[in-house]
Amino acid sequence: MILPVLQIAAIACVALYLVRWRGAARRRNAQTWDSLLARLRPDWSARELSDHFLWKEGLNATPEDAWKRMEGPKGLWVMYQNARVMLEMADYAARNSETVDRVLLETLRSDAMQIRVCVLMALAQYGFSKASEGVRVNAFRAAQMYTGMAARMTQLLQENAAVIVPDFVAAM
Amino acid sequence: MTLDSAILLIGMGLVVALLAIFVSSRIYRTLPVFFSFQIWCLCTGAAGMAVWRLPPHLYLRFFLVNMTGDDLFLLAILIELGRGILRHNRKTQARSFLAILLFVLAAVLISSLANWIVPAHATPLEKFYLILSQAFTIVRVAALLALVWWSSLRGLRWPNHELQIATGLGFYAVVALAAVIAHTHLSNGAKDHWIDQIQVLSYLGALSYWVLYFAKSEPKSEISVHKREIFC
Repeated sequence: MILPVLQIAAIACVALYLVRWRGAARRRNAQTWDSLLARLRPDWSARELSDHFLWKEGLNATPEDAWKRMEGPKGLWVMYQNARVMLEMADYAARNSETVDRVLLETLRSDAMQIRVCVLMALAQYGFSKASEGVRVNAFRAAQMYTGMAARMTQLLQENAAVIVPDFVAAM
Repeated sequence: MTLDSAILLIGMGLVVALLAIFVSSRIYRTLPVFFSFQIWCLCTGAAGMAVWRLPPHLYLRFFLVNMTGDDLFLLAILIELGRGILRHNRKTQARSFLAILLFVLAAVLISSLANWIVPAHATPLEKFYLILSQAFTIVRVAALLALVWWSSLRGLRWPNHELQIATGLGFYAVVALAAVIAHTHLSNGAKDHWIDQIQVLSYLGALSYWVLYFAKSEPKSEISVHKREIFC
Protein backbone atom coordinates (compact mmCIF):
# COMPACT_ATOMS: atom_id res chain seq x y z
CA MET A 1 0.00 0.00 0.00
CA ILE A 2 2.89 2.33 0.80
CA LEU A 3 4.35 2.05 -2.73
CA PRO A 4 1.30 3.46 -4.62
CA VAL A 5 1.09 6.33 -2.13
CA LEU A 6 4.78 7.12 -2.64
CA GLN A 7 4.39 6.92 -6.42
CA ILE A 8 1.38 9.25 -6.41
CA ALA A 9 3.25 11.68 -4.14
CA ALA A 10 6.23 11.61 -6.52
CA ILE A 11 3.98 12.29 -9.55
CA ALA A 12 2.36 15.16 -7.64
CA CYS A 13 5.86 16.57 -7.02
CA VAL A 14 6.71 16.32 -10.75
CA ALA A 15 3.40 18.05 -11.62
CA LEU A 16 4.00 20.79 -9.03
CA TYR A 17 7.52 21.34 -10.35
CA LEU A 18 6.23 21.70 -13.93
CA VAL A 19 3.52 24.16 -12.81
CA ARG A 20 6.10 26.30 -10.97
CA TRP A 21 8.50 26.15 -13.92
CA ARG A 22 5.73 27.25 -16.29
CA GLY A 23 4.87 30.22 -14.06
CA ALA A 24 8.54 31.25 -13.98
CA ALA A 25 8.86 30.87 -17.79
CA ARG A 26 5.80 33.09 -18.33
CA ARG A 27 7.06 35.73 -15.90
CA ARG A 28 10.41 35.68 -17.67
CA ASN A 29 8.77 36.35 -21.04
CA ALA A 30 7.09 39.44 -19.61
CA GLN A 31 10.07 40.96 -17.78
CA THR A 32 11.54 44.40 -18.49
CA TRP A 33 15.05 45.79 -18.02
CA ASP A 34 13.91 47.62 -14.85
CA SER A 35 12.40 44.47 -13.38
CA LEU A 36 15.69 42.65 -14.02
CA LEU A 37 17.69 45.40 -12.31
CA ALA A 38 15.32 45.25 -9.34
CA ARG A 39 15.99 41.53 -8.97
CA LEU A 40 19.72 42.03 -8.32
CA ARG A 41 20.40 41.44 -4.62
CA PRO A 42 21.73 44.70 -3.09
CA ASP A 43 22.37 43.32 0.46
CA TRP A 44 25.91 42.14 -0.36
CA SER A 45 28.32 43.32 -3.03
CA ALA A 46 31.49 41.69 -4.37
CA ARG A 47 33.16 45.11 -4.02
CA GLU A 48 34.14 43.72 -0.61
CA LEU A 49 36.41 41.27 -2.44
CA SER A 50 37.89 43.27 -5.29
CA ASP A 51 38.91 46.90 -5.81
CA HIS A 52 38.18 46.61 -9.53
CA PHE A 53 34.86 44.77 -9.26
CA LEU A 54 32.76 45.14 -12.46
CA TRP A 55 35.77 46.28 -14.46
CA LYS A 56 38.37 43.56 -14.00
CA GLU A 57 38.43 39.86 -13.14
CA GLY A 58 40.19 38.69 -9.94
CA LEU A 59 40.10 39.08 -6.16
CA ASN A 60 42.18 41.06 -3.65
CA ALA A 61 41.84 38.46 -0.93
CA THR A 62 43.00 35.04 0.18
CA PRO A 63 40.40 32.22 0.44
CA GLU A 64 40.20 32.82 4.23
CA ASP A 65 39.70 36.60 3.84
CA ALA A 66 37.20 36.11 1.03
CA TRP A 67 35.11 33.74 3.17
CA LYS A 68 34.97 36.33 5.96
CA ARG A 69 34.19 39.24 3.63
CA MET A 70 31.45 37.37 1.80
CA GLU A 71 29.82 36.74 5.20
CA GLY A 72 29.84 32.99 4.60
CA PRO A 73 26.77 31.42 2.97
CA LYS A 74 25.03 34.82 2.64
CA GLY A 75 27.49 36.07 0.02
CA LEU A 76 27.45 32.71 -1.74
CA TRP A 77 23.67 32.80 -2.07
CA VAL A 78 23.74 36.40 -3.38
CA MET A 79 26.26 35.29 -6.04
CA TYR A 80 24.05 32.34 -6.96
CA GLN A 81 21.01 34.58 -7.49
CA ASN A 82 22.84 37.46 -9.18
CA ALA A 83 24.56 35.09 -11.63
CA ARG A 84 21.14 34.01 -12.86
CA VAL A 85 19.88 37.61 -13.12
CA MET A 86 23.02 38.68 -15.04
CA LEU A 87 22.49 35.79 -17.45
CA GLU A 88 18.89 36.93 -18.02
CA MET A 89 20.20 40.48 -18.58
CA ALA A 90 22.64 39.24 -21.23
CA ASP A 91 19.83 37.25 -22.83
CA TYR A 92 17.61 40.35 -22.77
CA ALA A 93 20.37 42.39 -24.43
CA ALA A 94 20.85 39.68 -27.09
CA ARG A 95 17.15 39.72 -27.93
CA ASN A 96 17.05 43.46 -28.30
CA SER A 97 20.31 44.11 -30.04
CA GLU A 98 21.82 42.80 -33.24
CA THR A 99 25.40 43.56 -32.17
CA VAL A 100 25.82 41.37 -29.06
CA ASP A 101 28.90 39.17 -29.42
CA ARG A 102 27.94 35.47 -29.63
CA VAL A 103 31.14 34.27 -27.92
CA LEU A 104 30.69 36.72 -25.05
CA LEU A 105 27.11 35.56 -24.57
CA GLU A 106 28.15 31.89 -24.53
CA THR A 107 30.90 32.71 -22.01
CA LEU A 108 28.32 34.39 -19.76
CA ARG A 109 26.05 31.33 -20.01
CA SER A 110 28.96 29.09 -19.07
CA ASP A 111 29.99 31.44 -16.21
CA ALA A 112 26.47 31.40 -14.75
CA MET A 113 26.28 27.61 -14.86
CA GLN A 114 29.72 27.14 -13.29
CA ILE A 115 29.10 29.71 -10.54
CA ARG A 116 25.82 28.07 -9.60
CA VAL A 117 27.32 24.57 -9.52
CA CYS A 118 30.29 25.83 -7.48
CA VAL A 119 28.03 27.69 -4.99
CA LEU A 120 25.76 24.66 -4.56
CA MET A 121 28.79 22.46 -3.91
CA ALA A 122 30.18 24.93 -1.37
CA LEU A 123 26.80 25.24 0.38
CA ALA A 124 26.37 21.45 0.49
CA GLN A 125 29.85 21.06 1.98
CA TYR A 126 29.11 23.88 4.43
CA GLY A 127 25.99 22.00 5.54
CA PHE A 128 28.13 19.00 6.54
CA SER A 129 31.41 20.49 7.68
CA LYS A 130 30.83 24.22 8.28
CA ALA A 131 33.70 26.47 7.06
CA SER A 132 36.25 23.77 6.22
CA GLU A 133 39.19 24.26 3.83
CA GLY A 134 37.17 22.73 0.94
CA VAL A 135 34.25 25.11 1.51
CA ARG A 136 36.52 28.16 1.51
CA VAL A 137 38.31 27.02 -1.67
CA ASN A 138 34.99 26.42 -3.49
CA ALA A 139 33.64 29.77 -2.28
CA PHE A 140 36.83 31.49 -3.47
CA ARG A 141 36.52 29.85 -6.91
CA ALA A 142 32.85 30.89 -7.15
CA ALA A 143 33.77 34.48 -6.19
CA GLN A 144 36.57 34.57 -8.76
CA MET A 145 34.22 33.42 -11.52
CA TYR A 146 31.60 35.87 -10.27
CA THR A 147 33.96 38.84 -10.65
CA GLY A 148 34.85 37.59 -14.15
CA MET A 149 31.19 37.30 -15.11
CA ALA A 150 30.37 40.76 -13.71
CA ALA A 151 33.28 42.29 -15.69
CA ARG A 152 32.11 40.58 -18.91
CA MET A 153 28.54 41.76 -18.25
CA THR A 154 29.76 45.36 -17.86
CA GLN A 155 31.72 44.98 -21.11
CA LEU A 156 28.62 43.67 -22.91
CA LEU A 157 26.54 46.61 -21.69
CA GLN A 158 29.25 49.14 -22.54
CA GLU A 159 29.40 47.83 -26.09
CA ASN A 160 25.64 47.58 -26.66
CA ALA A 161 23.82 49.87 -24.21
CA ALA A 162 26.26 52.28 -22.58
CA VAL A 163 23.40 54.43 -21.29
CA ILE A 164 22.34 51.76 -18.77
CA VAL A 165 25.80 50.96 -17.41
CA PRO A 166 25.52 53.46 -14.45
CA ASP A 167 22.24 51.83 -13.30
CA PHE A 168 23.83 48.39 -13.50
CA VAL A 169 26.95 49.49 -11.60
CA ALA A 170 24.78 51.08 -8.88
CA ALA A 171 22.61 47.96 -8.57
CA MET A 172 25.63 45.68 -8.24
CA MET B 1 -23.64 6.65 -28.55
CA THR B 2 -21.08 5.31 -26.05
CA LEU B 3 -18.75 7.49 -23.99
CA ASP B 4 -15.77 6.28 -26.06
CA SER B 5 -17.32 7.29 -29.38
CA ALA B 6 -18.40 10.66 -27.93
CA ILE B 7 -14.83 11.30 -26.74
CA LEU B 8 -13.48 10.34 -30.18
CA LEU B 9 -15.90 12.66 -31.99
CA ILE B 10 -15.23 15.60 -29.66
CA GLY B 11 -11.48 15.00 -30.07
CA MET B 12 -11.73 15.01 -33.86
CA GLY B 13 -13.79 18.20 -33.75
CA LEU B 14 -11.14 19.90 -31.60
CA VAL B 15 -8.35 18.70 -33.91
CA VAL B 16 -10.20 20.11 -36.95
CA ALA B 17 -10.60 23.44 -35.12
CA LEU B 18 -6.89 23.50 -34.21
CA LEU B 19 -5.85 22.67 -37.78
CA ALA B 20 -8.08 25.46 -39.11
CA ILE B 21 -6.48 27.96 -36.71
CA PHE B 22 -2.99 26.79 -37.67
CA VAL B 23 -3.71 27.16 -41.38
CA SER B 24 -5.47 30.53 -41.09
CA SER B 25 -2.76 32.06 -38.89
CA ARG B 26 0.08 30.22 -40.69
CA ILE B 27 1.47 28.84 -37.44
CA TYR B 28 2.10 25.52 -39.23
CA ARG B 29 5.20 27.08 -40.74
CA THR B 30 6.98 27.36 -37.40
CA LEU B 31 5.53 24.15 -35.89
CA PRO B 32 5.35 21.68 -38.82
CA VAL B 33 5.75 18.51 -36.71
CA PHE B 34 3.00 19.54 -34.29
CA PHE B 35 0.78 20.37 -37.26
CA SER B 36 1.52 16.98 -38.89
CA PHE B 37 0.73 15.27 -35.59
CA GLN B 38 -2.75 16.81 -35.61
CA ILE B 39 -3.30 15.51 -39.16
CA TRP B 40 -2.08 12.07 -38.00
CA CYS B 41 -4.57 12.23 -35.06
CA LEU B 42 -7.39 13.09 -37.46
CA CYS B 43 -6.50 10.15 -39.75
CA THR B 44 -6.11 7.63 -36.91
CA GLY B 45 -9.34 8.92 -35.34
CA ALA B 46 -11.22 8.28 -38.59
CA ALA B 47 -9.55 4.87 -38.96
CA GLY B 48 -10.46 4.11 -35.33
CA MET B 49 -14.14 4.70 -36.12
CA ALA B 50 -13.87 2.36 -39.13
CA VAL B 51 -12.34 -0.51 -37.10
CA TRP B 52 -14.59 0.05 -34.10
CA ARG B 53 -16.47 -3.24 -34.53
CA LEU B 54 -13.39 -5.45 -34.92
CA PRO B 55 -12.77 -8.24 -32.35
CA PRO B 56 -10.78 -6.98 -29.31
CA HIS B 57 -7.49 -8.71 -30.26
CA LEU B 58 -7.55 -7.14 -33.76
CA TYR B 59 -8.53 -3.76 -32.38
CA LEU B 60 -5.62 -3.98 -29.90
CA ARG B 61 -3.22 -4.46 -32.84
CA PHE B 62 -4.59 -1.35 -34.51
CA PHE B 63 -4.31 0.47 -31.20
CA LEU B 64 -0.65 -0.60 -30.79
CA VAL B 65 0.27 0.87 -34.18
CA ASN B 66 -1.71 4.02 -33.35
CA MET B 67 -0.03 4.39 -29.94
CA THR B 68 3.48 3.86 -31.39
CA GLY B 69 2.87 6.52 -34.04
CA ASP B 70 1.43 8.93 -31.43
CA ASP B 71 4.43 8.57 -29.15
CA LEU B 72 7.03 8.88 -31.88
CA PHE B 73 5.26 12.05 -32.99
CA LEU B 74 5.22 13.38 -29.41
CA LEU B 75 8.98 12.85 -29.12
CA ALA B 76 9.50 14.61 -32.46
CA ILE B 77 7.35 17.50 -31.18
CA LEU B 78 9.58 17.86 -28.09
CA ILE B 79 12.63 18.04 -30.39
CA GLU B 80 10.81 20.65 -32.46
CA LEU B 81 10.13 22.66 -29.27
CA GLY B 82 13.85 22.47 -28.42
CA ARG B 83 14.76 23.83 -31.85
CA GLY B 84 12.15 26.57 -31.43
CA ILE B 85 13.79 27.59 -28.13
CA LEU B 86 17.21 27.75 -29.81
CA ARG B 87 15.79 29.88 -32.65
CA HIS B 88 14.15 32.18 -30.14
CA ASN B 89 17.36 32.59 -28.13
CA ARG B 90 19.62 33.89 -30.82
CA LYS B 91 23.38 33.50 -30.47
CA THR B 92 23.28 30.22 -28.56
CA GLN B 93 24.64 26.74 -29.24
CA ALA B 94 22.62 23.51 -29.07
CA ARG B 95 24.79 21.55 -26.56
CA SER B 96 23.03 18.24 -27.39
CA PHE B 97 25.34 16.25 -25.07
CA LEU B 98 23.94 18.10 -22.05
CA ALA B 99 20.38 17.46 -23.27
CA ILE B 100 21.08 13.71 -23.71
CA LEU B 101 22.70 13.51 -20.26
CA LEU B 102 19.67 15.19 -18.68
CA PHE B 103 17.33 12.87 -20.59
CA VAL B 104 19.13 9.78 -19.22
CA LEU B 105 18.98 11.24 -15.70
CA ALA B 106 15.24 11.99 -16.02
CA ALA B 107 14.54 8.54 -17.53
CA VAL B 108 16.27 6.81 -14.59
CA LEU B 109 14.33 9.00 -12.13
CA ILE B 110 10.93 8.43 -13.76
CA SER B 111 11.41 4.68 -14.39
CA SER B 112 12.21 4.24 -10.69
CA LEU B 113 8.72 5.65 -10.00
CA ALA B 114 6.79 3.56 -12.49
CA ASN B 115 7.32 0.11 -10.90
CA TRP B 116 7.35 -2.28 -13.84
CA ILE B 117 4.75 -4.93 -13.03
CA VAL B 118 2.83 -6.73 -15.78
CA PRO B 119 -0.16 -8.88 -14.66
CA ALA B 120 0.61 -12.60 -15.02
CA HIS B 121 -2.87 -13.47 -16.37
CA ALA B 122 -2.64 -11.05 -19.34
CA THR B 123 -2.34 -12.40 -22.89
CA PRO B 124 1.03 -11.91 -24.67
CA LEU B 125 -0.44 -9.10 -26.76
CA GLU B 126 -1.85 -7.37 -23.65
CA LYS B 127 1.52 -7.76 -21.89
CA PHE B 128 3.25 -6.24 -24.91
CA TYR B 129 0.75 -3.36 -24.86
CA LEU B 130 1.35 -2.70 -21.14
CA ILE B 131 5.15 -2.79 -21.47
CA LEU B 132 5.08 -0.55 -24.53
CA SER B 133 2.73 1.96 -22.90
CA GLN B 134 4.92 2.07 -19.76
CA ALA B 135 8.08 2.57 -21.82
CA PHE B 136 6.53 5.32 -23.96
CA THR B 137 5.10 7.11 -20.93
CA ILE B 138 8.47 7.12 -19.19
CA VAL B 139 10.30 8.32 -22.31
CA ARG B 140 7.70 11.09 -22.85
CA VAL B 141 7.90 12.48 -19.30
CA ALA B 142 11.71 12.11 -19.25
CA ALA B 143 12.08 13.96 -22.56
CA LEU B 144 9.84 16.77 -21.30
CA LEU B 145 11.76 17.06 -18.01
CA ALA B 146 15.10 17.00 -19.88
CA LEU B 147 13.88 19.84 -22.12
CA VAL B 148 12.78 21.88 -19.09
CA TRP B 149 16.05 21.26 -17.18
CA TRP B 150 18.16 21.93 -20.28
CA SER B 151 16.48 25.28 -20.95
CA SER B 152 16.61 26.24 -17.25
CA LEU B 153 20.29 25.33 -16.82
CA ARG B 154 21.24 27.30 -19.92
CA GLY B 155 18.96 30.20 -18.99
CA LEU B 156 17.00 29.98 -22.25
CA ARG B 157 13.65 31.71 -22.75
CA TRP B 158 10.66 29.87 -24.20
CA PRO B 159 8.67 31.39 -27.06
CA ASN B 160 4.96 31.68 -26.16
CA HIS B 161 3.63 29.16 -28.71
CA GLU B 162 6.15 26.52 -27.66
CA LEU B 163 5.46 27.19 -23.97
CA GLN B 164 1.71 26.63 -24.45
CA ILE B 165 2.30 23.41 -26.40
CA ALA B 166 4.66 22.16 -23.68
CA THR B 167 2.03 23.02 -21.05
CA GLY B 168 -0.58 20.85 -22.79
CA LEU B 169 1.88 18.02 -23.41
CA GLY B 170 3.13 18.19 -19.82
CA PHE B 171 -0.40 17.94 -18.42
CA TYR B 172 -1.16 14.95 -20.66
CA ALA B 173 2.20 13.27 -19.90
CA VAL B 174 1.73 13.53 -16.11
CA VAL B 175 -1.84 12.14 -16.30
CA ALA B 176 -0.59 9.32 -18.57
CA LEU B 177 2.15 8.48 -16.04
CA ALA B 178 -0.43 8.35 -13.25
CA ALA B 179 -2.64 6.13 -15.48
CA VAL B 180 0.20 3.66 -16.10
CA ILE B 181 0.87 3.40 -12.38
CA ALA B 182 -2.85 2.95 -11.67
CA HIS B 183 -3.02 0.15 -14.29
CA THR B 184 -0.06 -1.57 -12.67
CA HIS B 185 -1.71 -1.65 -9.25
CA LEU B 186 -5.34 -2.31 -10.22
CA SER B 187 -4.84 -4.75 -13.14
CA ASN B 188 -8.53 -5.67 -13.53
CA GLY B 189 -8.39 -5.83 -17.32
CA ALA B 190 -11.47 -4.38 -19.03
CA LYS B 191 -12.87 -3.07 -15.70
CA ASP B 192 -10.05 -0.51 -15.60
CA HIS B 193 -11.14 1.08 -18.85
CA TRP B 194 -12.14 4.23 -16.93
CA ILE B 195 -8.41 4.89 -16.39
CA ASP B 196 -7.85 4.99 -20.17
CA GLN B 197 -10.90 7.26 -20.53
CA ILE B 198 -9.45 9.70 -17.98
CA GLN B 199 -6.16 9.66 -19.90
CA VAL B 200 -7.95 10.45 -23.20
CA LEU B 201 -10.03 13.15 -21.48
CA SER B 202 -6.78 14.76 -20.27
CA TYR B 203 -5.64 14.93 -23.91
CA LEU B 204 -8.98 16.52 -24.83
CA GLY B 205 -8.28 19.06 -22.07
CA ALA B 206 -4.89 19.81 -23.62
CA LEU B 207 -6.48 20.12 -27.09
CA SER B 208 -9.14 22.53 -25.78
CA TYR B 209 -6.42 24.59 -24.11
CA TRP B 210 -4.46 24.83 -27.38
CA VAL B 211 -7.58 25.75 -29.37
CA LEU B 212 -8.43 28.52 -26.89
CA TYR B 213 -4.86 29.81 -26.78
CA PHE B 214 -4.16 29.78 -30.53
CA ALA B 215 -7.61 31.22 -31.33
CA LYS B 216 -6.62 34.43 -29.51
CA SER B 217 -4.69 36.80 -31.68
CA GLU B 218 -1.23 37.59 -30.38
CA PRO B 219 0.91 40.63 -31.17
CA LYS B 220 4.13 39.32 -32.73
CA SER B 221 6.47 42.25 -32.22
CA GLU B 222 8.66 41.69 -29.17
CA ILE B 223 11.02 44.62 -29.48
CA SER B 224 9.48 47.88 -28.39
CA VAL B 225 10.69 51.29 -29.49
CA HIS B 226 11.93 51.86 -25.91
CA LYS B 227 14.08 48.73 -26.02
CA ARG B 228 15.46 49.70 -29.42
CA GLU B 229 16.47 53.04 -27.96
CA ILE B 230 18.33 51.41 -25.06
CA PHE B 231 20.17 48.80 -27.13
CA CYS B 232 21.95 49.73 -30.30
